[in-house]
Amino acid sequence: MNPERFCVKFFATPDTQVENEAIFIDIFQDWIKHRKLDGVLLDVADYSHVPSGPGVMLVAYETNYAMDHGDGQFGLYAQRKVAAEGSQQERILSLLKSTIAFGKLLESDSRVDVKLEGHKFLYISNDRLNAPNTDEAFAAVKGDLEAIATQLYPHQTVTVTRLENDPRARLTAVVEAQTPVSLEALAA
Amino acid sequence: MTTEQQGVTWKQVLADKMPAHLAEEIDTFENQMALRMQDKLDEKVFAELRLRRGAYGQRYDNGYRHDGERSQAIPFPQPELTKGPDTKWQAPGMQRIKLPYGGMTAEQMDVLADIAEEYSDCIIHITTRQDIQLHFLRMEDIPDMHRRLASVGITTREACGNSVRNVTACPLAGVCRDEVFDVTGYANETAQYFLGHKDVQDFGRKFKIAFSGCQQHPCGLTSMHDLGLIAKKAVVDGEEKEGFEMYVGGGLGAVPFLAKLFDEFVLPEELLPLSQAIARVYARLGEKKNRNKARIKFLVSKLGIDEFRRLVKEERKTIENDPEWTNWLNNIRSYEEKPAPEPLTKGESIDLGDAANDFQRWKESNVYYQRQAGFVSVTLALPLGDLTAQQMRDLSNIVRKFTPGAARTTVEQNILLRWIHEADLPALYLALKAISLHEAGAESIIDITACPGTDTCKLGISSSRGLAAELRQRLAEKEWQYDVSLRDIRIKASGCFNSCSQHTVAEIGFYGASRLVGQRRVPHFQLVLGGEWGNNAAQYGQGLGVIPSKRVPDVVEFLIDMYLSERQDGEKFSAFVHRIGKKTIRERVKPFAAIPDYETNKEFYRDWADSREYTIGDIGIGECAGEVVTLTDFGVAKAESIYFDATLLLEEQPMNGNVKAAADKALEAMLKAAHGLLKVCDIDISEDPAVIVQSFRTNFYDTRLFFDPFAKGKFASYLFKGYEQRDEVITLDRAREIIEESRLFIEAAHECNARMLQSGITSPAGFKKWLVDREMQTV
Repeated sequence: MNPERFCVKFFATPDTQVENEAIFIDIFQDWIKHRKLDGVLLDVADYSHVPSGPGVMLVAYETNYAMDHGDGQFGLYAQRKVAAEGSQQERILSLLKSTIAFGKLLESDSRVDVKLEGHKFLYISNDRLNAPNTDEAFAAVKGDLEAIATQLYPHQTVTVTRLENDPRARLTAVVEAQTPVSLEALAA
Repeated sequence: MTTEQQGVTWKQVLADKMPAHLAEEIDTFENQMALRMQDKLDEKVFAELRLRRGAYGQRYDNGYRHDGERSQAIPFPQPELTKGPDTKWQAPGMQRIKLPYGGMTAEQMDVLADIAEEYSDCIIHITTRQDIQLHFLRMEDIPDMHRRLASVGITTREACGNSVRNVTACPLAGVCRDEVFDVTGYANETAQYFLGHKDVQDFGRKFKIAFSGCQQHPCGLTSMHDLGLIAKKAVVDGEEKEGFEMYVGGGLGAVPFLAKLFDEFVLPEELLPLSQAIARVYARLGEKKNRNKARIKFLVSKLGIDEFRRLVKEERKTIENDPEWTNWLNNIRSYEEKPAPEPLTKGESIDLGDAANDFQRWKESNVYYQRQAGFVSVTLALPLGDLTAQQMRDLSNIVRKFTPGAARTTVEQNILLRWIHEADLPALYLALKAISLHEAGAESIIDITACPGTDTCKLGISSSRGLAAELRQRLAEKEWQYDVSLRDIRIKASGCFNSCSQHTVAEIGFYGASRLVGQRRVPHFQLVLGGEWGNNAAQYGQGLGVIPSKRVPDVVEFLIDMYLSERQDGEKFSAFVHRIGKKTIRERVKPFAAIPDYETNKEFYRDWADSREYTIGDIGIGECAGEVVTLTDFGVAKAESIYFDATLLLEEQPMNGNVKAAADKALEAMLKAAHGLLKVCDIDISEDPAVIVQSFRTNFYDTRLFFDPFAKGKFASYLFKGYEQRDEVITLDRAREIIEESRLFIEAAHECNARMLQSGITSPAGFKKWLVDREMQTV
C-alpha cells in the first residue's frame, strides 16, 4: 500500500484571527511572482466564499496549498498531486517538509498574523483505491507515520490515531506530540 | 497512467460496474493519451479527442503567466509535452461532466465528491447548463476519473466539442405547478439517443438542447437554445395528446439570437426523428470553416425559418425508421419519482431554537410548493455555484434521507431537492445548516450567477467570479435578498462577451471588457440592461456602456436605489428600465465611469480577488501615446455613442420603420470606429464608407492588425458584411444582429487601439515601420 496522492494539515493556533483572508491572495501572488517556494507555482484560487471550504489556495504543479476551513478547523492544508520519489515514508516526510517550509514563510510574513501548531498534524490518504478508509489501510501507514514522528518530534511521546469519520470520507490519521512545538522549531 | 500501486487498478475494480461501451471508450482515450505522449498522435487531433471527452484546457496552459509586471514562463518539468497546440500537457485542466436534465442520484453525488477530493481541489462547481465542472486536474488522472464516473452511469462524452452538449431541462419538471407535463424523461431519452450518434458528429459547432414544461417560466431557457422544446397538449384526431412546441436557432454567445418557432406541435414519437432531421440538415449545410458563423442560428438566419423547415421536413422523409425513436415511450412514466409515503419526522416536534427566524426567511425564499399537496422543493443557494466535496458527500446523505434519492442542478448554479414532505422542512433546515447549505435568498438578487472568467477561463477578460463574490457580500449586507420588491431581479456576470453566465437574459447583466487609461489597462464590465429572465428568456438585454470593475458594486446599488425610489406600483425592474429609458439611465450612471489616475488610486488598475496589476494576456506596458492616438480614441468613443443611438432606435418603435434606421446606425458606428483606427495610418482618411471599408481591409484585416487573439478576423467580418448588405431589406432580427455585431466590433477596436499603442503604432510613420518590420519577419 503506497498511495501517490495524500494530504497533510497543520492547524492554526487558537488565537490566530485573520479578519480579511483576501490578504492571502496578495501574499500568494507575490510568492508566485518571486518564486519563493520550491516547485512549479501556478496560480491562486480564491474559494473564501465557500463555507468550510479550502479558502485561498496556492496551486502548484506538485502540490496545492490552502488556508483551509475544512471541518470548521482553520489551518494549512497541503495536497500532494504528483508522485514523488522514494518510499511511502520518504514521500510523506517530503510533503511535511515542504508544508512546514510554506507555513514558516507564512508565519514570517508581516502582512498577516498566522501561527500554526507544529505538534499536531493530520495525514489524509487521498487515494481510495490504494489506501481506503479501513483499519488495514491505517495499519499499513501507521508505522511510517510513527517513524516520521520520531524524526519530527525527538524525545517526545507521540500518538498516531485513526480519526473516526464517515466511512466514505478519506482515511485520516492524527499525529500528535505530547508538548507544543512551534513550526519554526519543526523546520529547524 | 492507470494507478497501479498494488497491481490493482480502477479499471479492474470497476470492470463489472461500467457499461461496456463506456469502458471501451475510456480505454481508447487512455491509449490516445499514450500515443500523444509518444508524439505519435497529432496534437490538434488529440485536442479535439480530449475536448470530446469534456477535458478542457485552463488559463495559463500555454506555459506563460503574467505576474502583474511581466509575463513569466511556467517551468513545467516537461514543457515539450503538449495536449494541443500551445497547450502544455502538464498544465492543469478542467473537466466538464454532463448531467442530463441536471439529475444526479445520491450514489453519483458520492462519486462526484470522491473525485473532486482526489483529483481536483475539493471544489465542485455547478454550471449554467446543469453540468458540473472540476478544475486544476492532471491529464494523467482523467481516465480513472472517467471510469469512476462511468461506474455510476455518468459519461463525459461530448461534454465539449462540436456535438450535442448536455440536454438541459427545467429542474422543477414533474413537480411544477404550471407545467403541462413532466419533461424529464423526454430530456434524458433525447440525451441518450444523440450521445455518440453518427448524425451529430459532423457539426461545425456545438448544439444545445433544452426542455421546458411551460411557456411562462424561465427554467428551461428554450429561447436561447439551438433546439428548444416546450411541453404542450393538443387535440389530434379528436384525442388530447402530449407533445412539444419546437424552437430552433436560438443562442446567446457574442451575438444573441432568439429561437424561431419551428413547429407548433410535435408528437413524442416524432421528437427524435425530427430532431435528427434538424441535426442532419445542420451537419450538411451549416458552416464548417468559419467557426464564428457555424452555430445553427446562423444557418437558420441565412436560410430563413420557412426554408429551413422545408429542408428538415424533406430530410425527415429520407431517414430510415429507427426503433430507438419510440421504444422508450412506453416507459416514460418510469421517470416519475416516488416520494416517501410519510414525513421522516412524523410525530416529532423539531425545536429550531435560535434558528427559528432564519428558518422562516429561508422558507420564504428557498422553498417551492409543489403541485403535489404536502410536498415542497428546496433550492440550495450555492455561492458562485460552488460547494465542497465534503458538503456534496454530506448532502447525499440528506438526499437519501429526505428525498426519493436524487437531486437536480439548476441553470442558476444551484441544487434543487425535490419531494420533501412539508412537515420535514424544520428537520431538513437543521440538517442543511449543519453543513452550511442553509443560506436564504436562493434565486434572489444576491444569488449571482458567474462564469469562471479570469479565474480559470482562457477567454476571460475580467474577473466575473471576483465581482460576483463582492456583489454578493455587499448586497447581502443590505439584506436585499429578503426584499420582495427585488425578488425578480437577477444579476449575472460573464468574464467576456460570450454569455456563459447568461448575462444577456438577466435583469442586470455584466460582461468583461478592458480599457486603456493612460498607458495602463483597467478592468471593466459592460452594463447590460433590459433582459428578461421570464418567459423562457424571451428578451435580450443591451449594453449601456462600460463601468470600471471597481465601481460596478456602486452602480448596482445606485440602480437598485433608483428603482426602489422611482418605480411605479407593481412595476418590475425590466419594465422600470424600459419606462425610464436606457438613455436616461446611461446618463445617470455616467459619473461612475470616471477613473482616477494610477498614482491616485491603484485599486482601479487591479481586478477583484487579484492583487496583480491588471493585464490581458502577456502584453506589457507600451510606449508613450501620441497625438494621433487621441484622434483614434475620439473616433472609437464617437462610435460607441452612435451604437447606443442604434439600440435606442430599435427599442423605441421597432415596427414603425426604425428597424432599417437602427441597422444603418449600427453600421455607421462600425464605420466610425474603423475610421478612428485608420487615422493612425492616414490622418486625412476620407469619411466615404467605401474608402473606409477598403482601407480598413487593406491596413487592418489583410495585415491581421485587427485580429483578436482568439476570434481572429471575426469582428472585422462584421463590418464587411454590414457594408455589403447595406442596401438589403432589414428584418428586426437582422437589425438586432448587426447592433450586437457593432458592439463587438467597437470592443475589438478598443483592443486593437490598445495593442497598437503598446506596440508603438501611434502615427503613420509608426504604422509604416510596423508594416516593414512585419514584412521582414515573414521573409
